[in-house]
Amino acid sequence: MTGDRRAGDDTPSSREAGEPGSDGSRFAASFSRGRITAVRQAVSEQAAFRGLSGRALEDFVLAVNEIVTNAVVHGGGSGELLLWRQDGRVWCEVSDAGPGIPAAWIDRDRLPASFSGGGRGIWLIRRLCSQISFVTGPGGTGTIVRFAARSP
Amino acid sequence: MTDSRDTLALVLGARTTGSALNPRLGDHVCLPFDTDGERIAAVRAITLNGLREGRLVLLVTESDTPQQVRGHLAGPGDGTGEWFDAEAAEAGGRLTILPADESHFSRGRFDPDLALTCLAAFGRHAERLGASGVSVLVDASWRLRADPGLSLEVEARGNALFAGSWMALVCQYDRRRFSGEAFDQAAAVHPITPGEAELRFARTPGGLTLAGEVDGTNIAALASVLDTLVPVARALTIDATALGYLDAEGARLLARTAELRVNETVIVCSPAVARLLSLIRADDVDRLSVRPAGP
Repeated sequence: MTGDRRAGDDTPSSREAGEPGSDGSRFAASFSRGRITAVRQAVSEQAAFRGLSGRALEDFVLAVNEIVTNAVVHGGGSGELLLWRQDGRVWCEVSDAGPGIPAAWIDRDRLPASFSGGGRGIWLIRRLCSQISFVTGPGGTGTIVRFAARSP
Repeated sequence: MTDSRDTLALVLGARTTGSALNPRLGDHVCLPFDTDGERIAAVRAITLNGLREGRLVLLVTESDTPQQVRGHLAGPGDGTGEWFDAEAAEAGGRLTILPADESHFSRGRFDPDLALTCLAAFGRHAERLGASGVSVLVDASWRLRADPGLSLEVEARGNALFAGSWMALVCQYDRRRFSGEAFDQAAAVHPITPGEAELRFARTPGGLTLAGEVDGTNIAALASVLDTLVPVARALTIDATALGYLDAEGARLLARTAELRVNETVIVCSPAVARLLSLIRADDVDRLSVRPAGP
């Protein structure tokens, strides 16, 4: 699926749905490997505070955890996370300074036959959230992943 | 950390079973510190707590000599008003203080097998004496003298051999001497690091129980424990009912374990974990059955 990638379109003036900070308060956090657990717990509280519950909350937290873990393992070891509510949805954006996510990971619609191969995180989050976009960071380095929680 | 905070950590941390300073039997903890005061306070707390629990205590020293550690330990005992005398505890066989040179190195060379043999021997010794278990505190700075990969492997093998059993093992990591990356790697091999996901597990006659949380901060610990199940040539049950959080990599490792095994693997787990396993297509593995734990 390439249709929901918005290559290069990440201007701050964009009024596109899910632009961070254009509505209400944002939750922001920096993370590295040792902070994965703490960030997940904070995201769970913040998303619940912004109205998510039940399976929608569970899936959103799983998705955030996978993107954060991906940034730690493949994206240079650390990153930034933003969370906000807009247009009745809870949004999350995770940015890192790593080499970027290979297109084959983003687009694949089948998993490897054996579980000895790694990497099910990206495949998983595509099934756990909506409106997901992968954007290369300013200057061609880093990745910005933005997505919204599913409606309950 | 100031002295008063060290004291506070002693008072608050000491009494909570399952905390890093009062670990449960089976825990394998990565305990970071930033100052020597913090390190010494932890040595005192873990020693006194272990003895109070009726365990034998083994201290493996590196930054200090055994004699310096005896000095750190001397002082008011744990709330009894009695003076704690390390040498008396050593003479009574309840406390052993060993430099890493004797437990982890042979003639100055890191010896992975010696380190594990030494811990196993200490456990048998405790059993003979009728102790309730052993608390072992290791100054992990010994790893700075050893090959990083080999020494990390020993930490992982420790999970498979000892955790979930009669030993509480705490490894003290000096944040000033290990790089951020080296520390993160070490923490990920430990099922428990304060402030990160805590995994507890135990081998059972039927297989394995898992409790707590698994994420990128302790994923290597799960991998090392699951590896021990692969060669077991009979049906096994992994009771993950008490596993509150599992990430995608943890789910993959569970599926991989079942895939590599010759016999059936049953995973009993919460509906959330069962759903995650189903999302990553773990049900494609023929010899794996996932059973949501019923109410």
